[in-house]
Amino acid sequence: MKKIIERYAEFVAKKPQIVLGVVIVFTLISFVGMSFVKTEGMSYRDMLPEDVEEINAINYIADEFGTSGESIMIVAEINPKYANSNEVRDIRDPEVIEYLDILEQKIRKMQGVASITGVPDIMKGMNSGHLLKTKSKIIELMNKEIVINQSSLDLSETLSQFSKGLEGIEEGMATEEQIVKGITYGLNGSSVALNQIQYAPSSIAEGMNQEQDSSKITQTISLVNQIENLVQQSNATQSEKMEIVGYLEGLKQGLNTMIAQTTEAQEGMQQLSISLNGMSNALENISSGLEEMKNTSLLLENLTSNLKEAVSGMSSSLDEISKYLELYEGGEKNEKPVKLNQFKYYVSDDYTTSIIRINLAEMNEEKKEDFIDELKHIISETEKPAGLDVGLTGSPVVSKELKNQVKPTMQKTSMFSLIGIFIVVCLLFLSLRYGIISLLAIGFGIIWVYGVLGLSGMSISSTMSGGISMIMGIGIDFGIQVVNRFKQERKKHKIEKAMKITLSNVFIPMLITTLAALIGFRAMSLGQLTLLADLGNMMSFGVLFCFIAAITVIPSVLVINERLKIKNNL
Amino acid sequence: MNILKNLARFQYKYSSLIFAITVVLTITIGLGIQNIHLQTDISKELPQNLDVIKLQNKISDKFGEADTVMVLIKLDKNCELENSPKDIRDPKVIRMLIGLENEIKKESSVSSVQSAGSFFVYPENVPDNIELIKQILAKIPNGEMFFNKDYSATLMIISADLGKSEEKVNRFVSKIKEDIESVEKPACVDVIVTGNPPIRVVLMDMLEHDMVFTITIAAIIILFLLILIKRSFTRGILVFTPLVLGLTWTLGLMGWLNTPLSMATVGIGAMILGLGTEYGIFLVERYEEEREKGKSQKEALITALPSVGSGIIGSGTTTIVGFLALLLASMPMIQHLGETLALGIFCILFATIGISPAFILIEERFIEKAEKLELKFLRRGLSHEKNN
Repeated sequence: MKKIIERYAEFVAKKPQIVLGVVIVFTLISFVGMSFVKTEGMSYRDMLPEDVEEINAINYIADEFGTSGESIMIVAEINPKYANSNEVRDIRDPEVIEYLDILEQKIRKMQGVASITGVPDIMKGMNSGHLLKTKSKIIELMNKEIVINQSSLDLSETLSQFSKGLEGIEEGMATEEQIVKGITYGLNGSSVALNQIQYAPSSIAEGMNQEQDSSKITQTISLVNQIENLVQQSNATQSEKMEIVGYLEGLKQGLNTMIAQTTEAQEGMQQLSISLNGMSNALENISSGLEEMKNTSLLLENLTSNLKEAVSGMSSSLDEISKYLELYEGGEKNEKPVKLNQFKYYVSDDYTTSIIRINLAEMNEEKKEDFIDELKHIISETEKPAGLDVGLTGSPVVSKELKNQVKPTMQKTSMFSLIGIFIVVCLLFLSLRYGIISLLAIGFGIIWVYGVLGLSGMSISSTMSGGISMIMGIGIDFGIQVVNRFKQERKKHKIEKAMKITLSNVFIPMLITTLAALIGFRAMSLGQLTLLADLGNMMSFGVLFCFIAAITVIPSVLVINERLKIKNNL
Repeated sequence: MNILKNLARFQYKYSSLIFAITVVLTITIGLGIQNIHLQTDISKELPQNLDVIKLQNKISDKFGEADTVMVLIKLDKNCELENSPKDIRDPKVIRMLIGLENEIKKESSVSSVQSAGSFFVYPENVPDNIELIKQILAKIPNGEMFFNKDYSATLMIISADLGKSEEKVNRFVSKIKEDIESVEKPACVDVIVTGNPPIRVVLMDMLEHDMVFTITIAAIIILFLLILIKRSFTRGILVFTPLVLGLTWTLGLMGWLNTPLSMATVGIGAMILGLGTEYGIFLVERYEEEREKGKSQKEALITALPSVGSGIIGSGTTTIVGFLALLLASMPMIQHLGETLALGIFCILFATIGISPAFILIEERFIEKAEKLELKFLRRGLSHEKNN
């Protein structure tokens, strides 16, 4: 380790320009990163640790009972400047209420407002949507407490309406029961009739098939023909034969006509049979439909019985209401009504202050800031009554103000720190030149810290605003140690040897110092309260970079400085 | 330089006296540690001169928001017990609210308690039918304000006048928790206390825990590192001694000077240990360097102290200046951090320059004596063997 340090010291002593060149390149990159550095505000939430039941609960309440959990309050405060003037002296003054109402109406139109509540809303809610015009009436209304007892709940009326409703339902149930019975009876009848109808086409078809047999007629005709032959062969007279044959011919013609008619009838029956089959299918469908209707009818019956139970349940509830009503009506303990006064959340007890609470919808930081600016604009452009001060507060407003404080705070503390340190080092070395050289460690260290913060996207918050000043205070030690030792060794040795001895002797203590400081800063983030964890991170970078600057920039500049001194002396 | 040389001579001559005085001084100042009070009011850590903060404080005073305790009652959504409430307006929950409200009201510092139970006054007034409760609550103006949107949670808001005493806040929160334990809670209902006072109590515990924890962690790692680098337990301890002294004095002085331990100053122990290490390192390293050259204790100290002393004083002073610059910050928490760290660095600086050389000499003499004793025993052992 010592050899490496000695070799490095030799290199710095011989080629300080190369070391300085590398450092300048890194510094230029850091300058680019510096342009990305942002500042940010902080809220109460940011200050609290995470994963603690009580804090999770308060965040839950903010999310569940509010909107995004963030609200802005417009605070109107009575602050008369002159005695016996016309300025308002009571927040309940109609002029103030009207002013607050105008503000509310304007703000309500803004994007990002989840809800807004103030005295004018409550007043309108209690006074049919109108503001009161006289102070006495306003005072009267504000003193009016909402008394939660039977009269305000109007339980009697509720009970009577509920009772009437129940009667109606019961009547409806009775009617419905009759309807269901009727439907069921009708459906049963329809079902029987349908079965009969279904049977009829098949009976007809069967009957038709029985009558359709024409072969028997043909047999009869052949019998008639045989009878005719027998008549011709018989001993009967010709005239008798002619008369009988004539009858038989008439019979045959009748039978043939019968056959022709039967054939026609068969064709008709075939068509009728097809139609009857179709009808039979249709009837079957109707039958299954009727079955379903019957099932529905059963369901209706169940429903009726359920509704009956519900009515009985409601009746028992009605009894409970009656009991509850009785409790409110009688008994000493129930004479205590619950009183509510909504105004007390928005008007102070001394009637000097009133607030309008604006619950914000979810929005990003940038939009929140724009919202606050717009809100300020609305307040400034709305003419307010004389003697009334109006201001904004709430978590987002505090956060914005803290953000605005970051840069001025950093400038102030850094400037004070730099001047103080510069005076101390100049007094220590009794030299302006060595004083400035020892400051180089913190100069470069801080530029690099800014560069890393910018490039890594870290924002500087209020808690980090003092970080630069602290880095200066800690980082200067490295510069002092290197310059101090080099000055001592330079009295005894040449530049190269003096630098070799200096770096060899201060490197290890400085490395241990850096490690110890880093341990200290990291330990800050190990606890549950990590409010200053970001500051710790910033300080860690700061100390590390000041150490690097102290072993690169300062030795190089010291060597160049000594060479220049020698050159000038020559 | 002459002052430091004279100081080195004095330290060489009166090292035992310095050691004794240091022990007495450390015990005296260290007793102040028990006086350290905790600052858990976060609002005090914000810049009090800002108009927006002034207004916020005024609102807290006038509308009594500072000492508001909230009791969150919510349904356990993972619980599937059959008879457990499925709606926070369940009669069992409302009755519990009334019971809890009546218990809390008995506390003298409570000015008001409000919850959905307030509308019913007595448990027997609560209907058994939840529908009826819903109907009653719907009739009450702002009756819904105590419930969240899906009726899985309700709030009880307790206003109290607790003043500035952390102890009173602690007692009050404990009492509320006892009251919660005493009432019968329906199954699958969680009750959590929150608000500014309970959070302050949590922060109190955390501050105490974090202070000890961060100091312990930093001390162990730094001591281990020092022993490792010095390759000697006693040398490691020697560099660590001014850190322990400086830290004890800082915390003791915080107690005596009434400087509170807050969220901003809770990490100062670790930071002081980290930042103060360099002074002891530079001094011990330089002293050893001179001793290695063959110089006597006195010569080595007279050379080392003035040569690194000025550097150490310069470093320490600039660090103190850097920290004192934080007094110009707008955030009180940063101001407190700056003044406490400046005090810490001053204490360690004083311990390193004023006390540490005496300890270095004593340690060296102790080691020498021990070695002599060891040698003596060794010689005795050898002569004993020879005689045998």
